[in-house]
Amino acid sequence: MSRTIVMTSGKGGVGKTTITANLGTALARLGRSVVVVDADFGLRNMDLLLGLENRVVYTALEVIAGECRLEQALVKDKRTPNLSLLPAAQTRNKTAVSPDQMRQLIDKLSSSHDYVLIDCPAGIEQGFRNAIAGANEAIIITTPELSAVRDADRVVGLLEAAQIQPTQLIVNRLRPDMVAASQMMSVEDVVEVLAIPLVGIVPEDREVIVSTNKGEPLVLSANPPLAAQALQRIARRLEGETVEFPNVASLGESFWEKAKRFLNQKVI
Amino acid sequence: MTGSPILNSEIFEPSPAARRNLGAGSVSFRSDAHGIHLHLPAAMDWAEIWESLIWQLRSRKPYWAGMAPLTLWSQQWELDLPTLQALSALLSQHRLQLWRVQTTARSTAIAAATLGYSVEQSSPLEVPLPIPPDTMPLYLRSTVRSGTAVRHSGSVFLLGDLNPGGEIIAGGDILVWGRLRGLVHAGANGDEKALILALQLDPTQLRIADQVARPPEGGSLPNTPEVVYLQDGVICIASIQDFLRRGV
Repeated sequence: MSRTIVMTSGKGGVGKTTITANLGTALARLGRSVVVVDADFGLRNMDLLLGLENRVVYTALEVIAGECRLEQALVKDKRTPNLSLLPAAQTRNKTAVSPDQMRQLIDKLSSSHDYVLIDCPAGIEQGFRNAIAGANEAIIITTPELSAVRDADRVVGLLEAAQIQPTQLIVNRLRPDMVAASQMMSVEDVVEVLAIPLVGIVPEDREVIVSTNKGEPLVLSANPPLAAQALQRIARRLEGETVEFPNVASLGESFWEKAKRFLNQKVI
Repeated sequence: MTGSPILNSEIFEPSPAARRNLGAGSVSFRSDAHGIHLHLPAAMDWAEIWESLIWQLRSRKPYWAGMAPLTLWSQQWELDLPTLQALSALLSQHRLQLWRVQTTARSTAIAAATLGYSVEQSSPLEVPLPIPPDTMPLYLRSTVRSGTAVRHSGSVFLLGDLNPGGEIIAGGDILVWGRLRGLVHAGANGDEKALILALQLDPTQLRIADQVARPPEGGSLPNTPEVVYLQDGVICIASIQDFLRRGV
């Protein structure tokens, strides 16, 4: 039974595309066949993040128009054999496709893959409606900021009305030092408002920017940084494994900081 | 005097002269001797109507027993066969049996007749009768999330949280058995005796009748249910114990 999951947030810039690219890669490395669908027509980014920009020949739009076969539009990732990308068109906008067309497309993809991850555009208009049309579950991505949580809450309500279940939560770009200093909402604060199950916490990590610029998903690195480890844990949780949530304070520290804390404890 | 007046209380609009039907302009239910009536608003996007309908059916606790007969007041909406079938299927999940359709649109009348419903067709030129406001208390079991507005002419009882960005506007009292963090307007038709009660009161804004108040800034939340009421034109807050001791 394949899973079609829409990755959505309401607000832009909270890391939907980055998380989708990395989660797709992590699931593929666990041996699952994964297709990542860029549903952000007119503002496509996913191909850049996966480093596949120059291999895009056809897009979802040509598939829908019947100008090519679905298999022709899928871009395989050479570094991750189980992963493929269905790119969005960059030249058109969100009204170029309808929810029914998206639903048919996702249905077709789900028959040949274990996971279909749909990267939803920001907003709650037509692009959002297209992206959720074919999904049977959702992952909400938010950052620990009032505005992002407010928008995520609205999206949870819309997903409930669209009868998409279950809906799970990823809190992205958490800074444990700022939470400790009461300068940032804690994960508990976010979960209290949204009242949906938490599937992962991803700490703020400068490595994310480096990997984005290189077009190489973070989870592929030989020495995965903290954010990548968090994403790998999310992939395992989606697979049904029970993976403990690490202590939030330890998410934001380098090895040396951790060692220092350990030594301090010993001294005291 | 046990209640503390809230700072920043001010009048925000003149008292409405007539009682408004707060449910009008959105998807609304009411009941009478003929069963349940579902009114569709004229000016709303169909997707929004559908969302609002699903939310209300999921959140409302049914007060009818068994399958209740339902009349659909579809106004000028042109509903085709699949839409009517989907609507009927959704309603029957919530123990409502669509049996009669009132419409001014010819295509809706034909579709409804094809499906075997009783049809009442009126001319689009006829002035529609005003819908009588439903002043029965509304019992909701849900989280009212950002972007959701509950409007009702009677009192509203919510078992669940009212999140920031969510609204409840009621002709009567508003009781929130949960955290109240959004905007509430009790006595929206001018009833100055209307109350707001919440297990935990942390609102964005409070309104009673034609008064509006922001909660005082900062300060920690008391761990006790609170009541908001209007006294001498000022919005006040008291703990439920203090309020009841003085006599309602």
